[in-house]
Amino acid sequence: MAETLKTRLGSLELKNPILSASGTFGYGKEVESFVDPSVYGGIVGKSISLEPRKGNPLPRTWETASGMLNSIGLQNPGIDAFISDPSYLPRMSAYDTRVVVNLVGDTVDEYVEMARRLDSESAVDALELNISCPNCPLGGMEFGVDPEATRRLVEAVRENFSRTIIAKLTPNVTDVVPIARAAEAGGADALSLVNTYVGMAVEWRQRRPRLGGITGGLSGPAIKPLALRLVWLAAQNCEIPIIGIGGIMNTDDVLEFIVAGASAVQIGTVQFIRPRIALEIIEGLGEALRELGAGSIGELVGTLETDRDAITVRQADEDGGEEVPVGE
Amino acid sequence: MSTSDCQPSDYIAPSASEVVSNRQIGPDWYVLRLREESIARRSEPGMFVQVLCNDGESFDPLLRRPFSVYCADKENGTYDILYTTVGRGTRWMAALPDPETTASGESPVKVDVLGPLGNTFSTPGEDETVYLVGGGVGVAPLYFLALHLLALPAPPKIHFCMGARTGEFLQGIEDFRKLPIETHVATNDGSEGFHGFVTDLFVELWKDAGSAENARIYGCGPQGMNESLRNLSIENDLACEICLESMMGCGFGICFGCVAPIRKDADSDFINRRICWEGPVFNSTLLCPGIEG
Repeated sequence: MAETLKTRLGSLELKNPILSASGTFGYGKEVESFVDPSVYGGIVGKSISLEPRKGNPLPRTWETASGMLNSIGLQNPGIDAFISDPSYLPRMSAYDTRVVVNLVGDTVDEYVEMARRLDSESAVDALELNISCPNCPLGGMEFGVDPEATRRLVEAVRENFSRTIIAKLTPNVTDVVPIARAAEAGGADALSLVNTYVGMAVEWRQRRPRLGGITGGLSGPAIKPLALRLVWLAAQNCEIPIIGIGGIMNTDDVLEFIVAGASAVQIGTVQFIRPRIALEIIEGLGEALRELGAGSIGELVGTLETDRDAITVRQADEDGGEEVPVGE
Repeated sequence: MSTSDCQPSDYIAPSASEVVSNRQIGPDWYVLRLREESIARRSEPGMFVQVLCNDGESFDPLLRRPFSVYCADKENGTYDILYTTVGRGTRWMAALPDPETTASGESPVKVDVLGPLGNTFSTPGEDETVYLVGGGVGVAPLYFLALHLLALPAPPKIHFCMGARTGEFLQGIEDFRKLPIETHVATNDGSEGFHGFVTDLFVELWKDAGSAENARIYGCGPQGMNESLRNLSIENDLACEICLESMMGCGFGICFGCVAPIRKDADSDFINRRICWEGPVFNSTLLCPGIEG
């Protein structure tokens, strides 16, 4: 039964397809009062940078219609404390789950330096390269919007890290496909998408932005349809496994991403509201497989049936929408 | 194998709290009484709960709303929330039926609540005089604290000072007036009680009492009040704990949305610490001038 939930990201096997999204789970410790982090297929820690970062000014969050904007600004203790402080990596390594370290840097050298150091930490099963944070002038996104910069960054990390590398992509691009392909060409083992959509909220009476950082990243169920489209496009255009992220609230949402082409998913904002949701989803996935008579999650990955292929749809979307004949 | 410290029975899970009553006590002020045994049993003054302000089928409003526990009846398994209607979440709460005034026989209304969360106040020394200083709806944790202190084997002398813009905003005072404590009010416009800020009222009372060094302050209110309280407690070397309020993404330390510059101890630097996780109650000496949060 539980075996049927196993899934793979390249050579990395997960006991189930549910990972915590970076920045929505701390480093596990805070969550322990609510749920055993070991129930997850993998946990992705909050972004780590070479030097500590104090984050953005307040306010840092603002609720929107079925979503939330955040402008946290990658507050984190830095790689030294992350590796040595018992609250961080040592604690994560004691959970019976895959440990993914999310990295953010200002330069290729910074990513490389952190990857090199983490390569000798056997507790680290995978790196997730944040090349997509919308909240910092140097939040990695300058890499993630340029295919060539993406390829060079992933290549450089690849030379310095021997285990699984995941590239986390931004949706804040005209076309995600060239970026996805570039990350794959650079040697990524898997892609995770999407990071948050950059957005804004305004208090018109005060004529002030709602967030201290002015703009922020939109997450939550509001972005799920947008994320599903990009996950589907990436899966249609890349050979490596995809981790779907974006507004997942329940088991049905997870299965939508899996059918659209994701081999695993990350849950984020929902954990703020329902810290035990991973348990419910894992149980729900087991029930869904039994209902379908499916032996594994893998049997469902990318099984979406469409009347037109992804290339046609993508071209039509770029042209401003396709005219679909009535009755088709 | 898991290294988690707690056993499954200890996990804090969102739970269905039954609405016992939903009483309006002023134009925009309400007291919601909920029944859920584990939340009532674990609640201590200063702690808060996160209320999901929708029926559970909707994703809007998306995030839970944090409220200090106003009081808890551990024997009957009930706890109260004092709230004012300021936005979509609290308006949803105000629209919940009040079973005490509606027809019986209807099925109980349940609310999804996560908690209790956060830390609590420290207990005063036996010879200390306690000053509870609250502004607006910030009086909520101070009421629970007053009840807690009065239940001690040797209760301290307690002064409660409430501040408001005008007399109209002094809802919530009646519950305090029923307690065996000294109650004082301050209004910015002088329409009721002391004319001025509640922190100035405190200073008057403290000076009248001989500026005793064994005064201990517990405060909760808007940012300006908290800031004044922090400053005067440090200037006069008075023990003071302040319960900070903030908008929160999660309420348990994972989103880093509700931070403020706060020291770990007297010797360390100010760093962005989480009000929900390291607080919400902080010693005033750890807060930075111009408190945020």
